[in-house]
Amino acid sequence: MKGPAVIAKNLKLLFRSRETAFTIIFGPLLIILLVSAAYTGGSEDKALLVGVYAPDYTPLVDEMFTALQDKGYLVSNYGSKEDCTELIKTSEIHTCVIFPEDFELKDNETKEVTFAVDYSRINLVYEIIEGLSAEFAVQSTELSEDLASDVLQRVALAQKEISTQLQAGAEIEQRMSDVQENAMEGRKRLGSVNVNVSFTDLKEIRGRVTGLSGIITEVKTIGIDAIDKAEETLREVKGETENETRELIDEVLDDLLNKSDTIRQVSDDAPRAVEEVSRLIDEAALAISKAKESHIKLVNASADVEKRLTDADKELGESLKALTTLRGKLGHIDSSLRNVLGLEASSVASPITTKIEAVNTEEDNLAFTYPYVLMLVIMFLGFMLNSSLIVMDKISTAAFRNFTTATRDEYHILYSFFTTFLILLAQILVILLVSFLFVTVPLFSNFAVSLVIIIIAITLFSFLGMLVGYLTGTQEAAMIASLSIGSVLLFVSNLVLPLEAMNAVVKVLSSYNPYVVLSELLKQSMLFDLKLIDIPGKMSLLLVAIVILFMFVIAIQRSVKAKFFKRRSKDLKKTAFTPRMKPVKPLVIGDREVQDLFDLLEALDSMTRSEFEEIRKGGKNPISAWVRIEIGDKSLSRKLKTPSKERMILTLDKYLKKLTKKLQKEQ
Amino acid sequence: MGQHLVFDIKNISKSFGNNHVLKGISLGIEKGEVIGMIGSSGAGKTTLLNLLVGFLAPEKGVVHFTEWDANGHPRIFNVLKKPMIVNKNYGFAAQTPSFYEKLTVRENLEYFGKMYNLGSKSIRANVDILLKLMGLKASQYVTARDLSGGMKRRLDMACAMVHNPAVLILDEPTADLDPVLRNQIWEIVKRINMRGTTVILSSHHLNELDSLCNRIAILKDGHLVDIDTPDKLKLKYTRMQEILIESYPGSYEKIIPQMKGQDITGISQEGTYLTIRTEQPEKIIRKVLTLLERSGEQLLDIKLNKPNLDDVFVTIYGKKTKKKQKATPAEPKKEGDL
Repeated sequence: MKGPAVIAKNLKLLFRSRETAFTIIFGPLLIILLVSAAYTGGSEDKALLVGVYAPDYTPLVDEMFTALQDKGYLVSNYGSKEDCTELIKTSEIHTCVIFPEDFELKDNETKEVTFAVDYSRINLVYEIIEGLSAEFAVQSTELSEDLASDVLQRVALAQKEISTQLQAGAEIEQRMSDVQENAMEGRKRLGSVNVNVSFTDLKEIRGRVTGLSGIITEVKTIGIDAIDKAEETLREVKGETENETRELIDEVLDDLLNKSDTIRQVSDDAPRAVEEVSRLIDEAALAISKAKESHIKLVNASADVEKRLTDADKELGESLKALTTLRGKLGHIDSSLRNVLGLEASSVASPITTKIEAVNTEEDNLAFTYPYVLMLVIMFLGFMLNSSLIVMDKISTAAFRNFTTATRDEYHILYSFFTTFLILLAQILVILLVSFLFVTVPLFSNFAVSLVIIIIAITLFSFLGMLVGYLTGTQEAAMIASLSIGSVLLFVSNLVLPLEAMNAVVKVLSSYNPYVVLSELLKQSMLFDLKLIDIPGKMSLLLVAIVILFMFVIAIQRSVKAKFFKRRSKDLKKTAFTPRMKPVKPLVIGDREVQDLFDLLEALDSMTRSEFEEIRKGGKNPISAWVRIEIGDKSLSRKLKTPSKERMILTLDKYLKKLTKKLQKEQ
Repeated sequence: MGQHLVFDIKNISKSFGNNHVLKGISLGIEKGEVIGMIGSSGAGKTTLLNLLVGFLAPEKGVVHFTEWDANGHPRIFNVLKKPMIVNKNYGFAAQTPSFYEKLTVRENLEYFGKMYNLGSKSIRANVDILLKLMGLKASQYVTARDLSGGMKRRLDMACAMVHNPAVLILDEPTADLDPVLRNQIWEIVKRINMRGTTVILSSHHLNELDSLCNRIAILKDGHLVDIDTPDKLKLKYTRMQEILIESYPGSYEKIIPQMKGQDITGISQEGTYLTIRTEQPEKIIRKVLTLLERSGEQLLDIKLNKPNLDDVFVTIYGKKTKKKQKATPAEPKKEGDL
């Protein structure tokens, strides 16, 4: 069964290597520990930086503001929407809550609150949305309850009013019924009354008509006299005037004579007319007499109707008053119910709606994300390239010569650094150029500063990679360790999971995560024209970190060098132990010389059965003899007097293991 | 000797845990000499070499390095206090070659030349000389990992030499190399030394150091047992010679009992050879030839191995052992053939 043997061998190899054992056993534990620590114990303190902009700071805005603070968010006010949203781009705040104008709870009006977020922080966006929306939902629900309660109150009030007014309505109905009855009676009575009666005193009229006959006679006399005088005058004038005037006077005289004739005729007809009028007046007097009788009856009926109508008027006045009141009340109810009926269901259920608004476009998202991705590439390349190079050099056969040349350790480190630095820089520049062609990211807008940050990043991650390289023994271990450390740095950053959701301690630690710091700086440089003089603190910190790392690398390189020679010393120790074996003369087996027992074991192991039989030809055992004579170990020599190669190997192996243990104890 | 020291080692001690590897060693290494360090595995050779250049710090004692300027004026430094000055003055080729496998031969040399702050012209000149010296010119554009074992060793030495160091330290430069490659390396070392470079080396191939080293330091149990020229060491420590006789049909069992006790320190049959160790070879050869004749043996071959550094080593380590415990057919002797 080769399988189990191979598996067992592999497991031994993996676990006997300290580096791989660490990576395999403790690496995953470390990651789990970190991630667990990151996401436990600190969920209450979100420490989301929330900006608030409200055109009017109404009580509801203040209430919301307080609610956000109570929730554990760090809330700040801003004077304008632009100020607030700009700060999201620079990551100074995580979101900006923009309240609408006159943010108050009104009937049938849904208010929209906008959350401005940076979608490049996609991991954080949903945290923000969830966190803040939940808070707003609570507020909204409270308001919704208020609204529903108000509606119910209004309906209850309306119902009460309607009940009250129903009684009033019944009274009005009764009164109106009475009025109707009275009015019908009055109309009935009035219908029987003839009101077409003259009330004029016709005796006086008849007397005046009789007098009128005399007056007419007098007027006739005066008129005829006047006409005669005028005729006489005109005739006198005619004689004294010229022809033309005479003609005119003649015309007037003719006219006067006609008028005089008319007057005489009219005056002659007047007595007949007067007589006729008198007759008519007499007839009228008779009719009036009859009308007076009817009138008296009508007056009597009218008084009765008036009385009844007065009562009806009074009743109607009161009814009108009651009806006005009723109308007012019903109008109020109508208004209330109309408001209630007019409410949108959504405005009752959700009086406040929220809207998520990105402060950046989709293209901006890429621009915002790009620095993080670029830094990710730098980090992993820096780790893997450097650790790989260091391990390659460390385990190379050339390590001894490198350690013993006239080149100082610091230069070896720096030269290794420059090697990887050049490779990384070239790779990053190629990536930037390709990105420039295919990605709309302002890569070169602030290139000098971006380049400085990239160089710092390459340097920092290169030295970290070197540390990994010096601390691991094989390329595989270095690679696994690089990936593990890179992954941890990646986990404790904003790219995969939001830092804001993590444990407070991890959050503090992550602020020193070089990946986080450098990604943020690169983003600010590429997108917001960061100036190095604006960040003296961070720059100093990074430079100090680089210097410290370099010193660390030197110290560890020296330690590795010391260990290298110490390991050589261990070989020497093994050699130093061999005098007791005293292998003065080598044993020649085939084409190889056996110098000591280790060599012998190796030789036996690689020997074929026929070769072994050849050695033992004739029953001799030169191996046993060599051990007795050269090594001087008679006991071992006796044990090796065996015709079996395998037994010989087992015996030797056991013996050498014992020796090794003894040696280790001595050390 | 004693006029132009490059390394002055004074009473240094070094332990690893409870194991005292070096105990109060004092040693001066002269400018321009080739000095070999011999001792059993773990005798402290490599530790001493590492202490020399400051890779390790001694618990006791001090190592001074002397830099000689063009006018012959010395500047003396404690190797631990001025590592950069010491580093540029020595080249170290450890037991395991140290260079970049993925770089070509030339790229490796040029890179390490730069590491020693050499100018481009100097590097080019040095690299060309070294490529020629090490026999790597044809392989200068070959990736190091594609080189053979011997070439890798030579490249390592070239890397150690690229800055023209005053001292070249070679720790087991011929370990794991076949005899041909070993000879090539020793040739190169000689040539390097002829350029005026002081060479300090350690090796298990003691006899190969014989003709190469001006002096040999013998370490045993952390002590410097002796340091002297190879000849003087051989004189000091052994006069024992080894006679090897091959005859037909080779029935040495009759001869061996008759030879015992007659100025012979050891006699045995090794394969087809009869091996006799003695301080009076002429006398013993005559006697053994007589015995062979009487026994009806036909003489096929006779060799005389004179004392060498191996014998010195064996003497010092107090062991009278066979030359080699051979598990394979015996390797032909290279030295002392009669």
